[in-house]
Amino acid sequence: VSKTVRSPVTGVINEILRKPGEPVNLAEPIIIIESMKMHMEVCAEIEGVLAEILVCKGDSVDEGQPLLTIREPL
Amino acid sequence: MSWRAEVEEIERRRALARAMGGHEAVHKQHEQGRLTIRERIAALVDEGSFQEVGALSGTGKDAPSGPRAITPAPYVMGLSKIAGRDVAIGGEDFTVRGGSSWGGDRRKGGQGGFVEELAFHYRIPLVNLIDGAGGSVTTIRRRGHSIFPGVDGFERSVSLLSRVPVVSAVLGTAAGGPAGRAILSHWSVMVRGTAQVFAAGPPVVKRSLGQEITKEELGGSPVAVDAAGTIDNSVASEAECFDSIRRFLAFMPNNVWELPPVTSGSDPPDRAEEALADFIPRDRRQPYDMRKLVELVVDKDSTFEIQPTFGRAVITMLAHLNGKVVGIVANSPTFNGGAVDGKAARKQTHFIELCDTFHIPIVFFVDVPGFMVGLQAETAGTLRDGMRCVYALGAATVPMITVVIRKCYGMAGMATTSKNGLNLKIAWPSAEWGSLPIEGGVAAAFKREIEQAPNPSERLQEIEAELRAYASPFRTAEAFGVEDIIDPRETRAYLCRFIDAVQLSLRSELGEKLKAGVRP
Repeated sequence: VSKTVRSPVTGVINEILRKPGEPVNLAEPIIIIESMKMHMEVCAEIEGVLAEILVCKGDSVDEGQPLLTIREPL
Repeated sequence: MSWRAEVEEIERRRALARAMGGHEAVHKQHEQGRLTIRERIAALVDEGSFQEVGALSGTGKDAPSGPRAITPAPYVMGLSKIAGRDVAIGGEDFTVRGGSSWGGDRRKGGQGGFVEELAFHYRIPLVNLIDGAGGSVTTIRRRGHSIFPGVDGFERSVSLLSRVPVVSAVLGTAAGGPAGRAILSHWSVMVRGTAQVFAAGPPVVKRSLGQEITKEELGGSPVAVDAAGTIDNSVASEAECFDSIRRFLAFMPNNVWELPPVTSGSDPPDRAEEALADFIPRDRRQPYDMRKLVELVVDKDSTFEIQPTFGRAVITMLAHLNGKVVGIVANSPTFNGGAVDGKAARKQTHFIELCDTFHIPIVFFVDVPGFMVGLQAETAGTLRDGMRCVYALGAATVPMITVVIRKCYGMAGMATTSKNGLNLKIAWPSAEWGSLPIEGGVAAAFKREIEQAPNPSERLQEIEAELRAYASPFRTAEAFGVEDIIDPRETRAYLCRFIDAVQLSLRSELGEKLKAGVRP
């Protein structure tokens, strides 16, 4: 089972903290988005392995846009 | 001669009323996870305080043998007490004809019903327990004509809102009139999973638009509360709902001619929280938990949040400061950086009007970069909703105190200060303000100078640094442009001192507020 994490806000990707293939814990920050001059952390919504990051640093993203997927450990 | 037979008849008829729609209908109501109207009233009000009015009303039918059969009216109401104070309370009895209208000489509840008149004339709060779909098309057959919508009584539902607290709880499926009444309130609440509210339910949607949708998808709390803000709060159960109603009413006066009750709190007004000294991150782009900040300042465990899941860029709460009721409006940097969008503006407008009507002073905790920007925000009419909020604030006369925590910019910043009163603004050392933030403004205002510089981005940063030095809150305090900059740990003591002192003026300004003009 995998979980797609979506952007909570409209903004710009400021920093990507983790790489695909790495294990992530629940609520661990993975991406930082700058929106309205504020840094918002996008965190893992489940524990698992970071399967895919769908955006790059500097990308503009819309609220609700998929940012990454996490695969649940088998 | 004796009247015993008639007295017995009263008791017989009352027993029929207590039986509601009968054993089977009551069982069905329970199976749906819902209480009956009589159980609801009993669970909400002070024990034994319910004085019912109109228990004998209903639809009578002569039986071929034996006494006349009565189906009770599908509405139960009367006078009750909550925390020792009188309230008018009523609600649909869903076990009788689904709580639809019944056609007696006088309405018991609903627009202009007896329970509304009771609240209006006795100047006591009104509690609506809503569980019904309003009018039924069967009425047209019974009357032989169709009734014009909203005949008499609607004006009473409206006039109540300037006089006494009105609370509406949606406890079942509400459509039509009962749904509308849920909105015509100062505060509304619904139960997650077992309550739905909409202008019209799934059969009408299917017929009108061809859409197949369940009633929970159409009007459950995720839509009605979280997405639309149609209803203010959602709760997990009916028990929690009644607890919330009691808590909300504890912040309210009986009417606009009285002040809210003062609690004798044990929280010292000069309590200084060490955590506040370093609460705000030095990096202006780091958010923090505004809700927690407010809770450190106000009386312990005294907050009651209104619309916690809607318009989340703004937090609106009732709370106590040294036992006196205050309204809190705080910006939340964790949502859109605190930028006020249309939803947040609507929420703030309603809350300002609530506090103004009931003479509840407002304390603003400000960290607002402005209105939300971008195509989405413009399409959503953010500027109109935002300016409506500025207008509501400009029309309000209740005392306000502004505490600038961090950012206070633009027109959204304007909606956080008192223009008809003392206009007391105190700031934390982390505060900054202006007509617009320096970062956004420099590129536009110094466009030519930046473009013509040998290194434009360097020049932009130089100008920003120069202007930022002027932006120190201490410089504005020198000019008395803010009344004070305080150690964040002093916030509670400062606010308590002024909220205590303003009680005298609140007492002399009681009564209904005149509303004039056109909201933008």
